[in-house]
Amino acid sequence: MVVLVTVVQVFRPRSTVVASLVLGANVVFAFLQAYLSKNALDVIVLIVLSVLPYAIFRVRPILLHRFAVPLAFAILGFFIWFKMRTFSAADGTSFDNVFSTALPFGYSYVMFIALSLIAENRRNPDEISNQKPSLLRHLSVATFFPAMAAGPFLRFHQIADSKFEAATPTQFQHGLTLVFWGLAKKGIGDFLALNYLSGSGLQTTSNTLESWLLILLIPARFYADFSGSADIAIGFAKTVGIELPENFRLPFLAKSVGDYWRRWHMSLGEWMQANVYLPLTLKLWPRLGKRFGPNFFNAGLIVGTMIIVGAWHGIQPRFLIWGFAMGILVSISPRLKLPGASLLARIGSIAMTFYLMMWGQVFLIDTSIASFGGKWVGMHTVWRTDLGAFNPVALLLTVLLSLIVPHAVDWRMVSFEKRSEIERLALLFTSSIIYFLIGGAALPFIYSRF
Amino acid sequence: MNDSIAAQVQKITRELFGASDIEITDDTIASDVPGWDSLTHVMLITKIEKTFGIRFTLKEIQNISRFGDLVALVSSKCR
Repeated sequence: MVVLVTVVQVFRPRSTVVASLVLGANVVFAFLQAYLSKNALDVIVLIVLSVLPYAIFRVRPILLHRFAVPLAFAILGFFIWFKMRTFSAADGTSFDNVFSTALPFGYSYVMFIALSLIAENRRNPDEISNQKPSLLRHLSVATFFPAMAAGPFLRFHQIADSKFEAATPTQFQHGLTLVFWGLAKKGIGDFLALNYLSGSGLQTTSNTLESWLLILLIPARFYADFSGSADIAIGFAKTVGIELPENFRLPFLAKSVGDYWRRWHMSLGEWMQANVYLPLTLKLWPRLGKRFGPNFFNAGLIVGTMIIVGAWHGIQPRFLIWGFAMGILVSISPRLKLPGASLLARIGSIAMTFYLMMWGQVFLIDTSIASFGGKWVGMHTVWRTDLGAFNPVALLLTVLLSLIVPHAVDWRMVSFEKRSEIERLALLFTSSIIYFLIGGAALPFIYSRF
Repeated sequence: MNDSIAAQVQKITRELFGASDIEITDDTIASDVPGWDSLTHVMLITKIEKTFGIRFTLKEIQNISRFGDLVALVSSKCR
């Protein structure tokens, strides 16, 4: 990737050449990945998924329109099959097994583009066929490997936003800062995992205060790891003129669960809204709307959509239960805020949302539902003061820094290109210092397993 | 042509949201109109599609943010 960025920046070639270079880098990476994992299936699946629906669309859009449903089910069927293999292979006794996956690398990224092409073409084939990118541009973005690890996910029409032009100096600085900052956040996430979270899961201790502090590190680690991978992908994309959508917007400041999902993994939320919620509403509202009434109908659709989000994480019952619970919370989220607009009410709403989403993440990674229940009850009812496993001051400091610093830097990263030269340089300097002190990937990206 | 489309879209919007007393301008956004949420947004789109005999793309449905954008989109499709 560094070679590609350097060539594009130094020679500043035409957009077709940039797209070809990106595609070439993607192909090299795909084969390297298949070679290292000793699994040719990775490459075959990638090729079929990225080429087949698009090729049908280019040659005979009407064919893709007619066979949209069976093709979409075939793509989803493969996804479920891979996930089922994962499920039967996992013994469910550790975090790694819960998230272990037989899914080919990047399947989700490529699948979401293919499915949105099918959905958009089915909804309005005449208009979408006027906006189609060339095969070269489509493949360059649809197999863009920095984004394949963990997104951000694209909808088909967003591919046309990419210009494949060498970045301007400010854009390049933005991209570079994002890459360093993403690597720095990844380093923070791995530091928390290796030093406090026993590898990648939870650590229970006999000191309740310590257990609460450790639990607070779960969302900190998830955010650092996941938003870090998104920043790296968006940063690299910027330097070669590819537009990837924003994926996180300060989620720990969300005032309700609905607000949280507009700030966390935004590209997935927007994809689900465009390709699941919207088509289902358009289809079902005229038939079922009057029977169920708007509130109940809408809640049902939101719960259904969130169950699908849960199933994307895994086919195990825990993920479906998690999706169901999230759907209920999103449906009632306008009523879950503290009343009033005072500062205290706003802080209360933020704290309540953080609490709910933190336990939602613990539910996802705990070894079993029974273990989660025991942990939740124990931590809310028993106060143990035995000697803890960690230095309490160091742990408290770690919690505060790992929750506050990433959000503080991300807050300043918003509108990066409009900030003063000094502030831009300060952000680049901060990102690279943290990266050199703590950064780099010691563990795989959590979401690369989806 | 545009004025009559704007008037018709405005009438549909007012009827759907029962918002006869709210001023709807080109710059009105969903949060300005009580009850304009993700479901009522789709209900509005469905009603407009039926009235004008047009079809929006998923991208358009998701990206409409201002009332003026909606009117402009309907006008461009009715040409």
